[in-house]
Amino acid sequence: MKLTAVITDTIRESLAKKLFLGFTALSLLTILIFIFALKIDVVEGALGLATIFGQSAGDTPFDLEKFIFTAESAIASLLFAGGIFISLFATASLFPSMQEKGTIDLLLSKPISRTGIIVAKFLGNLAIVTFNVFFLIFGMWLVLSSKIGIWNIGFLVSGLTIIVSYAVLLTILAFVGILAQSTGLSIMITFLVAYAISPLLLLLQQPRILRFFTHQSSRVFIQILYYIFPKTTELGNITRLVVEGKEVASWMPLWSSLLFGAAVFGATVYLFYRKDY
Amino acid sequence: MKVIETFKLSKTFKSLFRKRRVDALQQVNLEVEQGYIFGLIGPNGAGKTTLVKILLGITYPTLGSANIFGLPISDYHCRQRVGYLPEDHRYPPYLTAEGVLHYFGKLSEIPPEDRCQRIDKLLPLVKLQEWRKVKVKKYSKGMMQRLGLAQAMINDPDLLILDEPTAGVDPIGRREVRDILLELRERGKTIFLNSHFLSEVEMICDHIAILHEGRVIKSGPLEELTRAPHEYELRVSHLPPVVEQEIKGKVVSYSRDNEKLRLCAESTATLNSVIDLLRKHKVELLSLEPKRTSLEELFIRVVREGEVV
Repeated sequence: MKLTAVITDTIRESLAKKLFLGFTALSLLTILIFIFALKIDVVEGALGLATIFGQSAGDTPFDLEKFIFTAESAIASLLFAGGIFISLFATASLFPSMQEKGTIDLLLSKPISRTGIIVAKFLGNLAIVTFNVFFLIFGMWLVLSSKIGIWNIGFLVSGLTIIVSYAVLLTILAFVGILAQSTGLSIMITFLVAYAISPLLLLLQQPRILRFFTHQSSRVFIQILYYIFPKTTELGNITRLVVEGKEVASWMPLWSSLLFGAAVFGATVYLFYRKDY
Repeated sequence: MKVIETFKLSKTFKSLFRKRRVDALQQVNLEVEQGYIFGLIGPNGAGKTTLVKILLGITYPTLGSANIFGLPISDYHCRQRVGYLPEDHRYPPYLTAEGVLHYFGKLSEIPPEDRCQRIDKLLPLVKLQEWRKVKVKKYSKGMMQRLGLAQAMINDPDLLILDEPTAGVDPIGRREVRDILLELRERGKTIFLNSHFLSEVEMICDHIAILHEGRVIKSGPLEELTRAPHEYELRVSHLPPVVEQEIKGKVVSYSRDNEKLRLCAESTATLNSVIDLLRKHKVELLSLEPKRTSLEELFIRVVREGEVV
């Protein structure tokens, strides 16, 4: 009951910020547009003619499977980049605000463990983002699949990779939020890791770039860093490949990012457990 | 039964980058018995809030230990029967009074039915019945304070820890809070009160502790601490000058305000001889009371002297 209370409160707090409601409204609008505006006529089994708002998209029949994979891949990629960005931005204040004087005193004075509080806060955070991501993905999957007749499960699975990627970045947000109690710094560091350090390390560890480092120790150091840090770029590629039904060459970026997230979350729990308020 | 016990509780705050260290608490030993209203008083920065925060697991002690209901404070289960009203409390602004009480009730693991019953009882008690569906962001300071008190009582706690419970509350509201606390004491609840309002502490507390620079410099039953030794106030009818002169010769100090005589006798025997003298001269003794110092006087004296008990 205690953990549920914190989870529910985190969801309420997120909803009160209105950003997630806007996100849901935007998702709903997208789904509605696809429901009412997009009309696809199947011509010869796998070929189709599309009309958008009653206007023909062209007279040449197109490959339906290619169309659905492209559309779903575009939505998943957009969600991966934009959705995670917005979600991180919207939830960044949840950990610092929990530690404000007067709020944290009341929370800690209740018969609930500190570990329980931080885990529930994390889960509440994750729950609201999961709802938003799956609302759009499931809605679009239902609309596109029912209109075209191709039910691509990979699109639904991509929701999971998006959530996992978000969860990994959320651990950084939580760690900095608990450590520094600053929303701004939490956003800055998380975005730095996700959108600067991670792509940079991916680039640096490429053999053609790595050879420019003359010292062996520098090369090893870069590779160690690459394996340690979450791999947002590769996670984005995995998401796309999953949607398109293509084979994923290596799942290493996923599990190594998960390991990073687990380690950072462990550190966050320890930090919160030891902290004086 | 001891509700709160602290053993050489100490807390030192150290700055990470500067070498400055502050000893907020120094070997504090306290015992709070069940069914009492215990007042913790002290000047600003004396360590009162730090002590409360340590008891509630919000801050960790540097040295020493403490128990609540016999359980170590490191065990969060000891807070199951505790209600707390912090000095600066913030409630989720998107919640209503009812929502706040449900939220904190859930955190104390109160079953839904009991919670609803408690809320129905508490909101009228703190005069927020009509505001129960209004979001707390619209509340005034006094209303927030009253909601805070209801929140602290949502789990029907056996120990209520209140940090400045009447701050921002109007005089009528203060009186109501006092009445609630006295009623809780009647029901056997223990109240640990941290307040700057000395007159308030004096009115309702049974025991007090004065904290100064992180040390307990005076503690004990309020009645005992405020009793002025061998100082008495007598009310008499018509005191002949001869008798007055004779009394002056017997006592250490003497003053008179119409029918009120204030005197300091060396011993109870001296006081008795004064009474005998009055009777001998047929002076009617209307009342006799041991003189008390006010808590404010005691507080100022003790803090200035830095008297360590």
